[in-house]
Amino acid sequence: MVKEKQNNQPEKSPAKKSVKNAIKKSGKTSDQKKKALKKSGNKKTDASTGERKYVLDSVLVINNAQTIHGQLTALINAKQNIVIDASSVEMADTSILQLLLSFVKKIHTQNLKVRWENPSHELLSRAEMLDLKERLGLAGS
Amino acid sequence: MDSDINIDMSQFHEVFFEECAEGIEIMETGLLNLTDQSDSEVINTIFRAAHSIKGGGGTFGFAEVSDFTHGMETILDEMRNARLGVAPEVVQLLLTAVDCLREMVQCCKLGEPFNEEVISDLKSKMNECAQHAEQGAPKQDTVVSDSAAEDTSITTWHISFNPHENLFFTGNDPFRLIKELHTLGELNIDVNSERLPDFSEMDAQNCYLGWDMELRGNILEEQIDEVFAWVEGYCELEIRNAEDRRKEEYDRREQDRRADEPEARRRKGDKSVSLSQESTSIRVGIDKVDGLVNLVGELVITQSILSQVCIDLGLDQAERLSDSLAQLERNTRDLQEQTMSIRMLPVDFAFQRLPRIVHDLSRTLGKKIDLKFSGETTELDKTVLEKIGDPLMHLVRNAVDHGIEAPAQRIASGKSETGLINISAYHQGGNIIIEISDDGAGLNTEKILNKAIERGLVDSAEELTDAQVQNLIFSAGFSTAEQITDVSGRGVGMDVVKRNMTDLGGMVDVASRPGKGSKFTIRLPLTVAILEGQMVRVANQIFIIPLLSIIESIQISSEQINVVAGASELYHYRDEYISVVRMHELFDIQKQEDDEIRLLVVIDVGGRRLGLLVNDVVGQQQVVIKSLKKNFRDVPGVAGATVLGNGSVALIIDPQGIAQNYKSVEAS
Amino acid sequence: MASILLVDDSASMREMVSFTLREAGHDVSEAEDGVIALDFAGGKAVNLVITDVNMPNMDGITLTAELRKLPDYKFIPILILTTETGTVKKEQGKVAGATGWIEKPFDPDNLLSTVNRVL
Repeated sequence: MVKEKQNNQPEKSPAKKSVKNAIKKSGKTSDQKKKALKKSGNKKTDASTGERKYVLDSVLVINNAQTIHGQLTALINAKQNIVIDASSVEMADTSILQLLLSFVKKIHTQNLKVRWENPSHELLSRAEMLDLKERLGLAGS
Repeated sequence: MDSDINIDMSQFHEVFFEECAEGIEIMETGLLNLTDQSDSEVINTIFRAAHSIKGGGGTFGFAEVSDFTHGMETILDEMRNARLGVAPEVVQLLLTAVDCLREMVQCCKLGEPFNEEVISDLKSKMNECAQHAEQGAPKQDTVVSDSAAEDTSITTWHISFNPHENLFFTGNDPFRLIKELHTLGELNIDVNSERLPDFSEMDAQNCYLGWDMELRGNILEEQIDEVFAWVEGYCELEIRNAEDRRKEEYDRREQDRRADEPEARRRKGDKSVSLSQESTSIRVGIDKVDGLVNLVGELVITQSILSQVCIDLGLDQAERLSDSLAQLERNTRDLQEQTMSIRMLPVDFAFQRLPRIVHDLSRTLGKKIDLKFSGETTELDKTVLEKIGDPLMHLVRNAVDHGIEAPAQRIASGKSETGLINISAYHQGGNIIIEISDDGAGLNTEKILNKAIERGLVDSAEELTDAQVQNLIFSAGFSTAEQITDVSGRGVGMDVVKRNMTDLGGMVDVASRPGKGSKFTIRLPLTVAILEGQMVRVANQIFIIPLLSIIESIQISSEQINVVAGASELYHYRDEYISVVRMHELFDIQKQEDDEIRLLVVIDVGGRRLGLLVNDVVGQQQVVIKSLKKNFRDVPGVAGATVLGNGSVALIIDPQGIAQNYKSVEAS
Repeated sequence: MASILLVDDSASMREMVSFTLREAGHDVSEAEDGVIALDFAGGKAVNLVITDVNMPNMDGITLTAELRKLPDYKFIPILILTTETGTVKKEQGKVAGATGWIEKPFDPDNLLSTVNRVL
């Protein structure tokens, strides 16, 4: 039998949290859904500037890498400039940063742009550590 | 390092000591059952036990224990890899080591110094033994570090780190490794994304990035190796000293590793997937349990008083009230039973040391003996259990020493060469019975009788049955130097065994047939805290006599009591004369007019009979024994007290204590 | 801070390790052997697994390999408790997918700093 003892409030495992949000995100999002969802990687179309916005979760780990890959693929297919809201990022492992790198490269090959909105300190320092800050376009942030 | 948590290890010591005790038992039992190489499961079990103790010893600060056990573990490891055979000398060496380990742990517990001589002697013997193992696999794989450079100067290291695609599947992350490198010195880093495929083709769970780094500082190569130790084999790693241009190729090593078929899957899921048989258990301090038992005892008394009050107030006619009280009584009894059972443990705990004793002693004496158990799961109270270990040991030793004959002698008398000692336990009434029987030579009744007469325990003219003679061995003063073969120096003898049993409220006796064998029967109450008692009235006082000791109660008249030589009074009970104890006089209680003293309670005390003369019997009841020891001196004849339903206190009689005042059964 | 699954058949080790980790603010679930641990893992995800190697019923190496098959446990750090001279075990652990190891005997500081390395 497994003995458990909780010190704090039970924290849902990060994996589960992101997956849960991911499930909410799939498919087209309506305005109502947009309001209901918290910061959860939903995509908004800003028709005026032709930009697609993508909000990054606070915890980005390899368990969700495939899901995020799917979401980013959709963005690529949208063939629009991308704005990534990275203000909530508290943790991003190498696999996700690698993913973002590949994504940014791909967008660039389409002659489109990726803009970062309020990248969190965490994201910046992690990217810097892996020498990805410039490559991701976060330099100067 | 960073953390400054000061954790006091001593809080874990107790559990560790308990584990050591368990592990030692496992090792001993395993070793005793180990016959040959094919017992790989047994060898593994013994190995794991040693390994565990070794690890714990190191962790909790008992380095000598860890070191010593390491010696045992090495031998066992050789055994389980078939590099060392299971020879009797090796098993004996390990058994001796187990003994030494047991003592070491005891010394640790008590804070006493070790017996260094014995320890180092055994250590060197174990070492020797391990050396004899075939030199098969290489020993410690100590990494030969060729950077002997005791460099105190700054070095610049070029590090090229290219993880394999599957790196992430080990739970490792390059980020953490790079972060660690930063702590060693100044790090410059360039990412290499050549292998990164097109977004649509990449597997998000693979690692395609690599890094070239330059690390500057007062850093030894080992330190860098250490950072990457976990991911060796999952990356291409090059570490070059910028000054030196040495090249280390980890992929070569990694390829060698891939060549060996790992045994990681040797123990598959088809091995017994039985979930731990013990459901759940928690460790509870014995004092907590005792506290609980005590409280429940108080509850029983209170409930009893309540019932009495109900009757006294004439409320027993109120049906609902008396029904509820009856229910309360049942609930309380159940609660008490459950609580008592918490303290119950299987008797085989007391049997644990016996196989070893029989094994060693029979070897020394050159005898062949089989030891069999039955009823090991029979339960009894923990306190009782703890106290019967020594007496049991003595009885078994006795059976090996004096009971079973030498093989030649056995064959000569038409018996099988191997003697049998049988220990069985079972419940009977409210007691546990433990029988130790052997098929040896039996007791020499004549010799015993002569010795008893010699020591003035028995009058030469007395007529005693065989059984009575045999039970004389339990008399104080009977044990002779011949019988004390216990090396521990403690004064042991059959009389001590008997006293141990009676102290617990039980008894022991022996039945023997010459040439066939002997059987010692131990009878013990299942619990020490409550007692089935017979309430008797002596004038206006109530006494409790343990039901266990009562044979019967009979009404008599004063004419039936014979006075002998102005001293003791006797009563002709069946075919013997038994001493009569006048309770009023013994306890100095005023006799009352018209209150006939006419009841004789015949009790049995270790084979002897006595009659207690009282006014009347009042009833039978389970009573909670309350000890008087805290506030009063020990009074012989009084075992404790209890509180009755009416709130008054009743003393509990200790038959043994009373019997001692009325020594020999005078006859003729 | 993190939820940890601790697997060790030695009660004293479990006590010491879980006490240390809880003092540091982590949640610790304990299992006394690999089979129980695997059963637990089938229903719950954690942030870190720490397992001894020598255990009855299922050893730590096998446990590691089995855990890696569970979706929730594919990428989380799994640390095995090895003895200093146990190079073979370290290698086997790696092959089975362990993240790294903690060498026995260790003190609470070792333990915590290694745990911090992976969380």
